[in-house]
Amino acid sequence: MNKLAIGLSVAAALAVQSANAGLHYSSPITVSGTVAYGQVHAARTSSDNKQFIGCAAYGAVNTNSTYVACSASDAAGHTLYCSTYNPNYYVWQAAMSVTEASSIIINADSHGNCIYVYVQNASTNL
Amino acid sequence: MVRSWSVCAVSAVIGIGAGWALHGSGSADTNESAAPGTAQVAQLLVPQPQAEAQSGLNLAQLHAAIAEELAAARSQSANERQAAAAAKATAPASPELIAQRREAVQDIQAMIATGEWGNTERAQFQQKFSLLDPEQARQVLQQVTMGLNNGTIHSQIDLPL
Repeated sequence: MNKLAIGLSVAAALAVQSANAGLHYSSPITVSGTVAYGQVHAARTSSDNKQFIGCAAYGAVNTNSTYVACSASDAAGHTLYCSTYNPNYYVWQAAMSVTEASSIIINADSHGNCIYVYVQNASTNL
Repeated sequence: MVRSWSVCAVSAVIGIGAGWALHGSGSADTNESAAPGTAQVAQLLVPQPQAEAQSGLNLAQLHAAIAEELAAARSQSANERQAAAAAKATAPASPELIAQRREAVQDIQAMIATGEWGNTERAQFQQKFSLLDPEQARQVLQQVTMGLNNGTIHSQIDLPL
């Protein structure tokens, strides 16, 4: 009976393994000075409760003011926040293209302005 | 007697000729009026070389002219919208709006001073932010971001802005 249970467990593990096949890289969140990078999926599935990375965009009908803001935290709890007031189209598009399959690089200046937002969406990030 | 017959014959020939001539022109009229609808539809559907020659435009030129007019109208309305937005942005703020903006900045400064930033603060910040003039908005956004980075503001959420 025990052998049967072990066999079923091994078979289930192999089935899960094959379901997740495909080229994959895992990049946890790294925060270093005014730069942060890492994968959304790796952050979300990390065993700690510290890691995150993402971006937000603000717009309202009653104002011409908009902003994009990005945040990241590594496993040790080091954080980086940046924002850009009235960003150009390309920064806005980059921030809004973030998905679960994203790998993100954020770069801020000394005033916290996002001066660089890179978003890569790929199956390898999942 | 013979002369009388000659006159009659000549008169008859002239009458027949005149009648034939009248018949011919009448027939042409009848043929034209027999299918007036068809003729008019054909004139509408098929470009008429005579009309083209008179106006100097063919169908392609007409399409191009219409497209040009539409593009000009669209461009004008976009320009008008941009001008209206610019005028609104540069219009002097009313005393009431200036007071609202001053109050909004004070409220945001008070939130920053508490040192805690959660969902409530984010929602209030965004509500106040929409009231501010561009320079005020840029400044408070930078203040909050710098506060988060230097630790004077503790964020309770992952995306505080």
